[in-house]
Amino acid sequence: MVNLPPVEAEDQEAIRAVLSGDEEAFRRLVDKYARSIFNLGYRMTGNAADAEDMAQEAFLQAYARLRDFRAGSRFHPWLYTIALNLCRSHLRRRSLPRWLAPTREREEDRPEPQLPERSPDPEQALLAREAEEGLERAIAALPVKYREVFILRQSQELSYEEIAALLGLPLGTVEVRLFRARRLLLKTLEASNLRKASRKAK
Amino acid sequence: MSSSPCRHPIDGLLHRKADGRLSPEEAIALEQLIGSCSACRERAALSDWVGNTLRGQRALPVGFSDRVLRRVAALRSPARARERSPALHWLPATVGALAVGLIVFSVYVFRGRAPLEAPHVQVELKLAGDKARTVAVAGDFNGWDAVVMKKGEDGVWKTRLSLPPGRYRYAFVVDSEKWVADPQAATVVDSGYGGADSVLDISL
Repeated sequence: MVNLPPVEAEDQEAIRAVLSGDEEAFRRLVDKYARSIFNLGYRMTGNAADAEDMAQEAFLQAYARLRDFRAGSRFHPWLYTIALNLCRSHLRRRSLPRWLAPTREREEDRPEPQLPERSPDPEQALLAREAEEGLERAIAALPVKYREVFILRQSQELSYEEIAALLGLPLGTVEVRLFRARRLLLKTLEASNLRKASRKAK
Repeated sequence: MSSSPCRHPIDGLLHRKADGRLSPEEAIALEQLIGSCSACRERAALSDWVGNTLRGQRALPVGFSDRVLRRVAALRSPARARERSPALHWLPATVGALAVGLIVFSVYVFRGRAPLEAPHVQVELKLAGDKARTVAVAGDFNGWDAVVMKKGEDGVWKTRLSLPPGRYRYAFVVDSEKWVADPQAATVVDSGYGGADSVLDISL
């Protein structure tokens, strides 16, 4: 029996419990990884409603396929792969040409509860928020193959090796895509007004 | 107000800085560029700002776990997932005299003969639609890239897939304009796009 780090051992324990019929044990996995999966979705899709749908679906798929999970391997990367595939499907579907797209529009994005930011200067906070929205738009405009490596590295802080394993890419490809993603993003941001906003927001 | 583009080799340096693997020599080179070129200075500041901004994670929407658990409760427990899925018992429907335009779908499953890696299961998707000009299928198994099916002489559109066990969502696209879910699928879920997706459960 391999000794797993405590974090992993906890997951294995929860998975075993679910597989022996304790559905509520699944909550431990959801509580632990929901934020990371939600943020992945948020950065990939650029909106909170899609991110929530994707994250819910990822957990449901993980639950339904839990028996396929190889005991002893790490749960988080496995869950991640499911979530990433969902993001890709979602983005691909969203980019279907109009003639292929479903006729009814999806309901308006649910408004997200926003806590007011603690800032001595509301105008500063507003500028910061605007700059951040500009950044989100610029990320959403990156080609998917660049966007995913960028988000995994920059926002989720995975290592090159982890990204390569997750996406099934050679390390060199990860490096090239990440470099191009960063350069493209900076150029996009420079071309927009964001530069001004980010400077003022500092 | 667009900055005058400089030709300084700063992008590689910023790339490595963002990953925290700038060598001491590179750090000096970067400092020199920042000190001598305003375009480089701005780009470097922007790069730092992007890094800092993205490190902050958004809070999870309130009640997320409860919503997931509620949906989980409605699913079959994976503890019993070894039971055969109802989808596997479907036999190829005898698609005979069907009213024109009526869409019927059947799944025919048989075990792959010589599985190489993970055992795959052969599935045939069928959709009867004599009047349809084209029928395509899009789903998790093909990344939602619609693949056009073949129409047999019997007026039934078919495609054969070889899939590892798992749960797949899919839908048909008729005449390149209409998403159609399978009315007979064991499970149909809201697609989130104003329609329904069919669910194909494949187990061994």
